[in-house]
Amino acid sequence: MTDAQTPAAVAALADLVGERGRLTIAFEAATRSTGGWAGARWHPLVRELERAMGLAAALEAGRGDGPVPAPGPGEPQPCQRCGGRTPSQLNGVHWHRTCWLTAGCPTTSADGGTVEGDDTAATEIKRQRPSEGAASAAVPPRPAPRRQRPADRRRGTEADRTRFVDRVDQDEELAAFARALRSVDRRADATDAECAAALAAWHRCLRLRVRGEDRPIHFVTRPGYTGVTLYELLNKAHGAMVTPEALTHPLAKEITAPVSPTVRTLGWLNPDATVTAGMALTELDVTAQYLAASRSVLCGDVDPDVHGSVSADELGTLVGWPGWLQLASAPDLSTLAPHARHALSDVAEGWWLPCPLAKYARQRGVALDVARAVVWPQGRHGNRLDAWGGVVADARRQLIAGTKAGQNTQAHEDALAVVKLTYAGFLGGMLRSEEHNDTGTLRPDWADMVVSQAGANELRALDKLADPSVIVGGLRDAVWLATEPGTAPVRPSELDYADKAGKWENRPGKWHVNRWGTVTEKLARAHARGRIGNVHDEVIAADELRKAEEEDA
Amino acid sequence: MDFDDVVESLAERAGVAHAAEAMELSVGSAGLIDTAVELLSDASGGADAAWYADVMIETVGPSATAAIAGTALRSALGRGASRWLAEQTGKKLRTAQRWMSADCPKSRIDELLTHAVEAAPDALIEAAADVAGEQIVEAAVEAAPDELRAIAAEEAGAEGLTAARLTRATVVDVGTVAVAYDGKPQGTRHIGAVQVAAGSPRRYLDQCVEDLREGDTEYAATAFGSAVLSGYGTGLERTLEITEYQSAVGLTE
Repeated sequence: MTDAQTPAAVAALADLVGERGRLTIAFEAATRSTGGWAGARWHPLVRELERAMGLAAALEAGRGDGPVPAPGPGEPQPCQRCGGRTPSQLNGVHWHRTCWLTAGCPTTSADGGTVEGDDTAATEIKRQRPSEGAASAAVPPRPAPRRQRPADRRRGTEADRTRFVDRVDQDEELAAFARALRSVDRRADATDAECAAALAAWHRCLRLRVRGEDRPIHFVTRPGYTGVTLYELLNKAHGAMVTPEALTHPLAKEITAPVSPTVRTLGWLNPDATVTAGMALTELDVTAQYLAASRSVLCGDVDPDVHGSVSADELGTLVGWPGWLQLASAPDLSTLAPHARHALSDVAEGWWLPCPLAKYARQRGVALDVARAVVWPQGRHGNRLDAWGGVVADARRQLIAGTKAGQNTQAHEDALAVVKLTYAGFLGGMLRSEEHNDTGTLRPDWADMVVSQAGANELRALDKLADPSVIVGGLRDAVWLATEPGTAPVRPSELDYADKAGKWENRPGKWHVNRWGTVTEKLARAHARGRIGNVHDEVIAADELRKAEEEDA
Repeated sequence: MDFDDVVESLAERAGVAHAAEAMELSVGSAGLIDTAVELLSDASGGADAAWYADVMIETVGPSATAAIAGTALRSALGRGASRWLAEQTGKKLRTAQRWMSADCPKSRIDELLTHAVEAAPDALIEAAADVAGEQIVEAAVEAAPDELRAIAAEEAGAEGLTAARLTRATVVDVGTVAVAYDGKPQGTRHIGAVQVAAGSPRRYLDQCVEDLREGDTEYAATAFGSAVLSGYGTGLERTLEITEYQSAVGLTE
């Protein structure tokens, strides 16, 4: 049988169960891996097994094309079996994979018929062009009667979370906290006693203090969920705090979708910077960048307004509100400093520019040609993450102080590591996660605003440098400087530092020296070739080399 | 598995079309045609005049084929080519001269090519390669796919074969990967299939192809990971990096 005659399901199954197939690789990876938690190790194998069972079931039913997955994440719809919302689709029907397996791997499409299919690639194309023959596969399924969702530890209901917080099971809390701590680099072997000490430090520092009440905030299941729970606790405790509702606005959801052309994390190289082997290299990082941004960023409530056209006068107001501007043409960035110009160089016609960055660009003389604006106007936005960020920042500050005090240093460091996971997990994960967050804090627009505000703050700080030509490039919260040999680490006087004694010490949003060393030939080459990922790798390598040399000395 | 394993695995599953493309890039088109001619000769017991005539007539038409055969004869025999042809065919010198031009009667082209193969085989192969190289390679791919693939694996290496596959890829399915943030492990993510036909993913994949062809797998690994991550989420390659592929990587072309 030639490749052309082989049913797609057979070929896909061979890829899974054949010699050195995906199942073998996933099994070996799971058994080889020693770190992390069991779910992370074995989940890939479970997924591959599910896929193999699905393909075999499809073949058994006389279908050669197998279950057809959706081309990408789509609008969550009720699962055909349990009624819980899921973006996952099989054969054009919304199913949780586990539900689909439990239901006997049905191979019918949304309308009850079979899905057209000759081969996977063709089906993929048809699915993208429903008007040309695959409409039945693209039609959203009729929602099945919603059933009681089974208790799911990962998707705790509000009642579950309240139970955790108010009548917490100490053993469960410690087990969950230990799991989080042991997921931290170099803490995989933390002992039970160390975990308990770290949790005690957490309870001492992460506290809810409202109207004379002062009680510890418990760790709930995972760092990200703890962030969600903390938000809900604060929301209940502060009567004036707006209760968030999950984002449902279709256009806003489209803009915040992972593959949308929306400016988010910044990364750039400055090709005009002088970078040669032997120069001094310094990596400066913004301390707790997103946590800092969460204190000042404006976040929208409920739905935004959509403006079809925006005058120059209106633009000045709109960029001060949370939201995004869609550009009608690529902006002329020539008025920006090199680092900002390169950081925003991807922005083209049709891209969505978050308002914090749009405001920055406009303040620096960039004329924005706006096709559409999606914004939350006055009265429908506020510093919705400020209270949450305040509690976390306060805990962070106390834990750092505890670390420096020299008592229970390890416990404070460990608790601080889990606090970092918590704010990263909430701001960088749960705000966006339809899979794991079914609360009002499912606000990917807030996440976009935090990231964008952090980026704008970083660019503004770098604009102050008297000699911006030393900036080699930047990635996320890091910026790399190349200076005269022997000068590393450098701390340009125009920036504020969190790693120096004084007013800004340990302050989120301020800079610290993260890595330094000497520019290597490989780093210079990566810069010359414009490969930011390789520059990043070489910065890490240069820092490790410097540390090794210092140890030898 | 690391990126080197991914490259090996993708190369193992490369088809003959990838092999031809990879070879052309590693040995050049002339080298590929030489190999194709050798393979055809082995497969058919020697490429003969009729085969060349078919290929050339189909490619450039009868008139041009006759002119090419004439050129081959002049190249091999110099100024005495027309006289030699007249003697071989028993025709007048003027007739032989006409046969060796674009005015050659269609009914005489086979005869002319037979004489050209006999007297000027190398020049004729060269001329055929110039005008019908693509057809020769296609014929070789059809006649001797396994041999061509084996030669390609030797000439172009796993990197070349994988580069050829990635050039045509529109979807990359990496399944589950282990990721890191700023050099620190961050567990695993199920990425699944991502579109790489356009935009940032395509740009990164093109970088990966370029790096593989230059034998720089370190750069290629970074570029491939960036292609996958940027296909999964805009700008995600600036947040995470892939450190291990826990599933076999598949491509859709």
